[in-house]
Amino acid sequence: MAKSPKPLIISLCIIAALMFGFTFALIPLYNVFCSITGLNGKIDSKFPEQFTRTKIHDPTIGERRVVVEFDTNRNATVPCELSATQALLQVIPGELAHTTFRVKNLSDKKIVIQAIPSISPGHVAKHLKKLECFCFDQQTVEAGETKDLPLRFWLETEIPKNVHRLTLSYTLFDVTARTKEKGT
Amino acid sequence: MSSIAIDPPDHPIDHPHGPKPGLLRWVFTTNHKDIGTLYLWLSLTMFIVGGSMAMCIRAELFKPGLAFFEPGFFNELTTLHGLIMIFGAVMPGFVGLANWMIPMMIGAPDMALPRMNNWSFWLLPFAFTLLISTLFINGPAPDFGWTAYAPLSTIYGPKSTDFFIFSVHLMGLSSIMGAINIIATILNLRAPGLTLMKMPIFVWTWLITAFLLIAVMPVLAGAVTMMLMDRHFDTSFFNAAGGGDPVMYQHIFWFFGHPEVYIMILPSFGIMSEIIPTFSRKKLFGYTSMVYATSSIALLSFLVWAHHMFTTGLPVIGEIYFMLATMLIAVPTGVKIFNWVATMFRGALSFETPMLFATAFLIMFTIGGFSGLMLAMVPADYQYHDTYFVVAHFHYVLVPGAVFGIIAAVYYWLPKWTGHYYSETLGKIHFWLSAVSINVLFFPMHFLGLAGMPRRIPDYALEFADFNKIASVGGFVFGCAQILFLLIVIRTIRGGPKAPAAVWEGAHGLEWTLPSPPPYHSFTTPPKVY
Repeated sequence: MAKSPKPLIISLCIIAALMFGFTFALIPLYNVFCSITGLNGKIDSKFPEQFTRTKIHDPTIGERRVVVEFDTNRNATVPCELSATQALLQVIPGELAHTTFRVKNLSDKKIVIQAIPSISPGHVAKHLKKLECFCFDQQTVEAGETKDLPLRFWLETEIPKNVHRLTLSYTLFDVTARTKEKGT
Repeated sequence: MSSIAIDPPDHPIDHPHGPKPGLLRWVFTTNHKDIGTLYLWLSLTMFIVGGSMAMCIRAELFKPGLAFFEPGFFNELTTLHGLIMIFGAVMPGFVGLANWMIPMMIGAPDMALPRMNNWSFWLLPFAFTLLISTLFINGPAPDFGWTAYAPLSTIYGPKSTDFFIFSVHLMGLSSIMGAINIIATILNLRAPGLTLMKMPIFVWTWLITAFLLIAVMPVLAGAVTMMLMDRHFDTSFFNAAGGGDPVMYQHIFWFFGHPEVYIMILPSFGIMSEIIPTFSRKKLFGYTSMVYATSSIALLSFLVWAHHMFTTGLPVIGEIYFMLATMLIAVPTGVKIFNWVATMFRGALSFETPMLFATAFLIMFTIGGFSGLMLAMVPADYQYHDTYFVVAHFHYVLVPGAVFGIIAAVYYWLPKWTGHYYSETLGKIHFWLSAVSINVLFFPMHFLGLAGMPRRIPDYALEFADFNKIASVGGFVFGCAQILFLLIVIRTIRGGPKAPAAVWEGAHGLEWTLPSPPPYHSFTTPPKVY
């Protein structure tokens, strides 16, 4: 049985290389999977095309209201305070809601922050659509400055009937060092 | 495999190609037995190093309060203990056994790729020097647990994390090359007539393990590469601030990590399937079902990774899927356990040391399997997660499972390797010390976990004091018993009653047709197997 092992070895090496590549392919796959299923509280932050097609106000919904609570956290290293100006909002599905968040720079340096949103329960995430959010961009806050940041969103009328309350949470990260290195 | 008739092969008595004289023999060797020996010594060395760390951990936990170490150093100990035992003791141990036994079991002269074999071994001492050196350089050693979760290992990782990353790369490279070599040997160098379904089960389990290694070691390499890039090249794979996700690290890690636990147990299953028939003096019950059970365990292992992550906030439907898929693995595992028991049933049993370890494996691995089933249940796991119950579970499957497997294999094949029988009395003392102390060590951990003691802590609430004390005493006895094992091995190498070619009267297979110790090149002319 002295056949050459070369083709076998080459194919085994290819399997190993493909699996290495597969690990990196998992990153986009994971994000696509999360945004399709709305798992992990991830939301599509791009302007949704179906906005024009969704009924903004559906009279059949009547007086149904969903409570949206706002929660803010900051990564321990951020010298910034973030708070929602309203702790919660009663939102009628299909209607546009507007609120602001206040950010205060506690340090004596200009910092750049990035807020990362998350929605709980996760399966509702796909029904929360944002028109405008301070989390879409990095925000520059001057030393000692206090700033109001806008959030405009609506809940789709298709939001499951048993959802009466949801939490929109923002975690604040300091990305100053990151933006400096990129030269912006 | 008693149905296989074997032509006695001829072996030239004065073989011209002996080993090179001197110490350089070990550096340049391409011989499967030399490399197997190197792997086994590395494994034993790492077992002692990782074991000393475990002794330090148990000493710190002997009573409440901080006695010896700062909490930071305690974290370094648990991290390095895990990494060294998994990648340094268990995996090289099995690769060493594969190197020694596979060519002899399939009637080959050597491994298919001898030079690569040398390289894949010699990467390991460097990998572990790199890893262990972190204890002696300035700043903390890796302290995030062997799982290296982001952001503990990325944003908050100490500088030495880079040493950890490169040592994991080296270990991965070594394992992948080792696995390619083993597959090439098994598929290309079998003796004429030795079809796949006639191979010894040890060879089968290693073939499947090697495929698992090739599939998942690159995934671990990818995960630590991303970690490296997050640390130094401003990427955000796992950094939420840049749009990444730390939970994804856990998904990638456990996609590697779950098959990894089967990498550490399947060769042990193979060893049991050699030892139990020998000392039961019967054929292995259900050979074919053993092969299929092993393969299905390997396939299922790719589909259950998130059962390590039930508390990360998976959707309910995901948790239910991962719970059921995990429980499904109990079916092929049960097939194997029942097959071993059926092999022993009405056999002419005798309990030499390898058989004692095999029997202990059977019982204690089953205990570990059952606590695994408990952990697989989502509602229960919310309570057990990250407690000492998990520690008890994986130590029950890894120590009496993987480690007892290696020890049993060493006792079983040591007379073949050295040409000398070990001392049965000392072997039995070693067994009883180990088997009793291991239960004193790990069984109380179940209770600690159920009572709520978290894992990876240097200090604990007073109500956990008694069980921790018992566990520590068991730990010290178990540790000392392994020194006895080292002495037994050295003693057997240096001398002892001469062993014949067929070391055990009930054993069947090609390796027992070679003299003990076997010639430097195993089968220069392939034997015929009918």
